[in-house]
Amino acid sequence: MLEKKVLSPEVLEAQTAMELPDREMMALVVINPSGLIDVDVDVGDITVTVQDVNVGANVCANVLASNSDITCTVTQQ
Amino acid sequence: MTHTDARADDEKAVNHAASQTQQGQPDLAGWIPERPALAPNVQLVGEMRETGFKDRQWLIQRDGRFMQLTELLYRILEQANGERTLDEIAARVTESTDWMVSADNVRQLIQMKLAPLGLIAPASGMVVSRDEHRARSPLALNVRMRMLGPHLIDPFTKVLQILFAPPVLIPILVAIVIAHGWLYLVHGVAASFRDALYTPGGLLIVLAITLAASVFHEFGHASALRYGGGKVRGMGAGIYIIYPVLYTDVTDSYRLGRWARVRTGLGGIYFHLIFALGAMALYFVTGREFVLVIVALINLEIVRQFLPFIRLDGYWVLADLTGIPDFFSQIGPFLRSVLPIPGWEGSKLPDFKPWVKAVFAAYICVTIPVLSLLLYLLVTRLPLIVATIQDSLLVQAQIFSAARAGGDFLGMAASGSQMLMLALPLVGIAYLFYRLGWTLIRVIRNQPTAGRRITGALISAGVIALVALLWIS
Repeated sequence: MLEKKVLSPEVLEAQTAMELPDREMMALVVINPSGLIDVDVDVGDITVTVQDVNVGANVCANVLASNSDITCTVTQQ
Repeated sequence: MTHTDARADDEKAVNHAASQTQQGQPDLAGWIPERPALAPNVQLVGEMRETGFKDRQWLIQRDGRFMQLTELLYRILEQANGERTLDEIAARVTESTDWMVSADNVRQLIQMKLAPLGLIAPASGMVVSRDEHRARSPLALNVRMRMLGPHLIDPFTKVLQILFAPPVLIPILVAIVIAHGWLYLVHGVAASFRDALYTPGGLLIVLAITLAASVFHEFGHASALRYGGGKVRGMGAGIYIIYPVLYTDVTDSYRLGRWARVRTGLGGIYFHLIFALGAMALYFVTGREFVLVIVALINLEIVRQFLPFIRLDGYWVLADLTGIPDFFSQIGPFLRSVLPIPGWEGSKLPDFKPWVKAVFAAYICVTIPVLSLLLYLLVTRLPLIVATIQDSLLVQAQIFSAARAGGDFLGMAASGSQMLMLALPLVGIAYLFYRLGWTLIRVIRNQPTAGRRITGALISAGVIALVALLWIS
């Protein structure tokens, strides 16, 4: 039979009980909204900076519809 | 004395004793019942498996919250059924441990450790009253709104847990590796971003799908927990530091072994990758380039999730790999255990294994400066952040009005969602500073002497003045 150890005041003091926090597994919902992306709309030699990509796309769509000889590109800054 | 008076006096005595115990002066001698019983809100859970501590640790639940105990305390609770005397409990604890335990030892441990925490029912049947409305840490999830309970989650996880079975998991992982290799090494993502920008409403679709991927991510945690034998407690949304988040409550994973806990932590990322694989499959079916932007955004989110400095997936995975139940809440007790600073009162941790101790120390050395720097940047740049969000909100309001005037519902949806996303961090910032303020007040109020309280108040006033000066200059 194994000999039992005597409990010293230090061992008694070292006994601990502590609360554990809840475990919540999180996924950040950090959406980079399209309107916050600055875009350059290059129409021929002219560059127009707009904030909303949809506006840029509309500008290009109208330019290309009116004159197919002019190039129009939307570039994200 | 009436019964009510007796109850009130009893509770007062217990509370007084509890507060004294925290200062190292236990005084519950006359209160300990001769035949102690567990408090009615306490449940024994069992041994904590595969921890980083040198000695075995044990788990109980009190009001649904887990508590970690050293062996002697747990063994006493195990025997405290309201029928056994202190002598009988001592004899049984001696039998089940390596220690020679006397009735006096049992009384002392109940008096010093268990009773102040309300784990033993007092002689009169009263339970020690405790402040259950403790403020949550600013580094914990706040403003929690549970949206799905277990009854709604379980039917899904019952099916989805199959994805963790090795015969399914291994082929999926191989497919994920091959698909990502093709995307980044062969195909590229530049054309996909261009397509997303050119497609009217393309980014909005991408963002909506990315949000759906986050929901699927949460089901990954819940399914992994279930696969390991745990029970999910709920899912919902909240604010973490300043950001809106989705969350899954996997607290039950404390009961699981190391690899089941790690699997629960990685389950979200695994499901995110499965979602990315689905997006690539959709690309092959539809030929729409912008769908691949989803994969790139998911991969960025995964990189962010692995940061161990805040309680994202990487934090819990690191905690589970080392066997430390929680870094943030155990930093104070850990430092008190390893740094013998005189006068630094409070709970201490049981001994960690040497390598775990080294990892915890390294974690503290890296994380505290990183978090301090982030807080400094947030505080000093706060006026700029608020002004930028305000300007952006005004721009979005104009875009929304223009879209409404033109009958552009897609535009209205886009700017509406953007305004919501811009407003949420503002709420988060306000809440963070509210929490930090209350934490500071609580710390100052809890100082043991008036001198220390005044010093704390003066230091706080100085810091606030300094911040104000930084904002003005």
